[in-house]
Amino acid sequence: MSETTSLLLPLIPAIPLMAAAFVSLAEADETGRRIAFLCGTIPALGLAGVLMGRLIQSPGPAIVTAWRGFFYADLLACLFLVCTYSLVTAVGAYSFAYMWREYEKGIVSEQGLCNYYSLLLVFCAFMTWTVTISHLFFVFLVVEIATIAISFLVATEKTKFALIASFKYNLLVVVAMLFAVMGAILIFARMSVDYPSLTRINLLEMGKLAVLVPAPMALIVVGCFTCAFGTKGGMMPFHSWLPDAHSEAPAPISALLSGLVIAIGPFLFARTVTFFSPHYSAVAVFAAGIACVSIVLGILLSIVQDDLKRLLAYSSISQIGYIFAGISLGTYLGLYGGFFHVVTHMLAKSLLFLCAGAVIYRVGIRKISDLGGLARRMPITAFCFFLGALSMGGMPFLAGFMSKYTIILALAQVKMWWAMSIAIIAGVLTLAGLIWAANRVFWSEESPKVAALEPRSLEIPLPMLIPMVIIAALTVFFGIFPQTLYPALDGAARSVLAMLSS
Amino acid sequence: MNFQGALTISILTLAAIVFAVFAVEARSLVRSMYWYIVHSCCLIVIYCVYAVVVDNPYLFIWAGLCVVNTWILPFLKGGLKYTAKRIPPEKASLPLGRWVLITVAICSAISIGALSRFQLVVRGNPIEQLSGFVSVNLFGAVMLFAYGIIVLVTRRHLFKLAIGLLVMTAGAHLTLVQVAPHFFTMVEIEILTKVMGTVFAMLYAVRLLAERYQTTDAEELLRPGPSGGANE
Repeated sequence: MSETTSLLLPLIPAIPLMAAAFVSLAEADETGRRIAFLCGTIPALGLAGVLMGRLIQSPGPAIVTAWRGFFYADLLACLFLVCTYSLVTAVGAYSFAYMWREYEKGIVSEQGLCNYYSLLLVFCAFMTWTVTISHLFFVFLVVEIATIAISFLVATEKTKFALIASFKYNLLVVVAMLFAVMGAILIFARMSVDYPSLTRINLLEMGKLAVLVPAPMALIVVGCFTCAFGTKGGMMPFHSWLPDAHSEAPAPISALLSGLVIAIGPFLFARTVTFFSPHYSAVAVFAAGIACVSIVLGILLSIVQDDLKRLLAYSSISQIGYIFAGISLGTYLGLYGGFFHVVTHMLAKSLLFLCAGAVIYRVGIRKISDLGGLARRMPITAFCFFLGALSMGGMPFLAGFMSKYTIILALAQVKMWWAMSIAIIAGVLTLAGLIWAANRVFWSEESPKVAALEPRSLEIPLPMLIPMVIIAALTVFFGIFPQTLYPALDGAARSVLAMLSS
Repeated sequence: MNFQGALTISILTLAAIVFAVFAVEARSLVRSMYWYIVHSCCLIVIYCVYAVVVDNPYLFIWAGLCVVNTWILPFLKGGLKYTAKRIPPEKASLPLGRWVLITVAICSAISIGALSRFQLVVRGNPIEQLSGFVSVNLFGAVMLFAYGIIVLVTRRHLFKLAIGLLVMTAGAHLTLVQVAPHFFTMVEIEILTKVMGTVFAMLYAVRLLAERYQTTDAEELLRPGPSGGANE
């Protein structure tokens, strides 16, 4: 794997951090805050894109490092960086109108708005470090800090259930990370026998370390990591924080949680547990088994929900199962499909949550049974929701189809027929469940509560619509031209495999 | 590691477990905080003893960083004491939970004692059995970690959940010291940041909940009422 150094890596998180400091300390008005927010995300997105372009152009698997290898970025890290900054920019732009409305209603104070944007930017910075730091214990540290930032964002509205959801999220993720620390300690203890001078666990060397860990200990380590990253990713049975946090957070934060925050789990899983799969066949079966439980139970629980955001939250549990199932295999196709589904799920689920936010923004109701007939009043939102639902359900010519199809092929390749069957059946159920919800909310007969609303057109303001329409367009684009993502996804999968073979 | 050092660590680990039980079981929240400080002091002494017996001065830094647990976390504004004085105390805890906790505490104490006795008496010269001592201490550290999990599972008071988390963190930290006492990693900073950031964030939520709903009992808070609900 070729290695070059670049100062871009430490620079990327510095931009949102500076913007966060400005938003917190400069006492700027709302316009100033919005400009500072965009100045904190768009240039960082540009730099991440430049880095990604440079790595794609490299002839083989390549890596960029900085500060003597403390920071690193391969194509997988760059993929997450680009996803992070693009989604946060979209969510931030959507929040301008959404959060201002919350402010006008007295739900959020002016200081609350300030905190909201600065915490979003802080989250970006720590998310960047999560995917670019090579020192395993420091990765856990930055994950914690990103978790704290997100937990405050979940509690933005300070309602009882939002506060409890925030507390629960913090508690469970910290406990999960303690399990990750215990797993790392076990590796560390074993390595200290062979390498007395070892002072840290380098993620880039996990492939090498995984071979040296004896079988019984490897299974305990995998168990600890699966528990930790499964909790972070919201995989069953470690999911209990997810429905509460998703449903109680403001809609833009729900989009961020579902699209990005839970994707950290699979990312860390790919950086650690995947390296054990080729050496211990039980690891792949164990992880795929848990992933399948998540896929099935997630969608079954999703179908019975009457709260629109909870329905989407449980659907996320199911979808994260697909990602874990692909990544846990440790094969090229599995990794490719898993990373592909990270991107498509981010697009579709954030779109669905933003549409749910649009409904809450205009109608103020989340109960599906109280909604109906909104398509005539919110046609663009309805269309976007429908697209998101179809994509998540795996409809051909939409982004979700290709990623799910790749994961199913990967499961077939390793002859896990049971997992493949479960993935196919759950895919059909997902499509049915989400289309039912879309139909109930937007196309069925107008409910009395909706009929009582004035004016006739309830479409959301343009600044909120633009991010939704862009994400919807990307969902269609990547569905029709999935090959546009090929260089990045291929590079990401190959970089993990290169570390594995090292 | 010499015999006296290993024995001292065994006794201190046992003390840390006992004080952790006191911190969780105390009805008064302020008293609970003080027991937690005593528990943290045991950890500080353990790190210092380790630093001396394994000749690793970095462990003194770890011990020094534990000032976060004994001073900053309890006494800083927004910390344990500040919160303990502003939230309602714990009501009678579940009998089952209490019994589970006491049983675990007694079992861990007996196990450590029995294993130590086994090492000291049955196998002859104890100085030749120091690796056995290390495993006894490791067992104690894992027990502390397990006790933290049990607290998180059985308690409903949010303040006690935070204490449980701290105990669990201490268990993880102690385990690392037991399995690799010669090494210096930055895990201490990771754990301390976790303690500082997460616990302060959690205590903030607890205070807000207590201020608005006059309870910090998870079950009471989750009970449907006029103030709560999905569409609140």
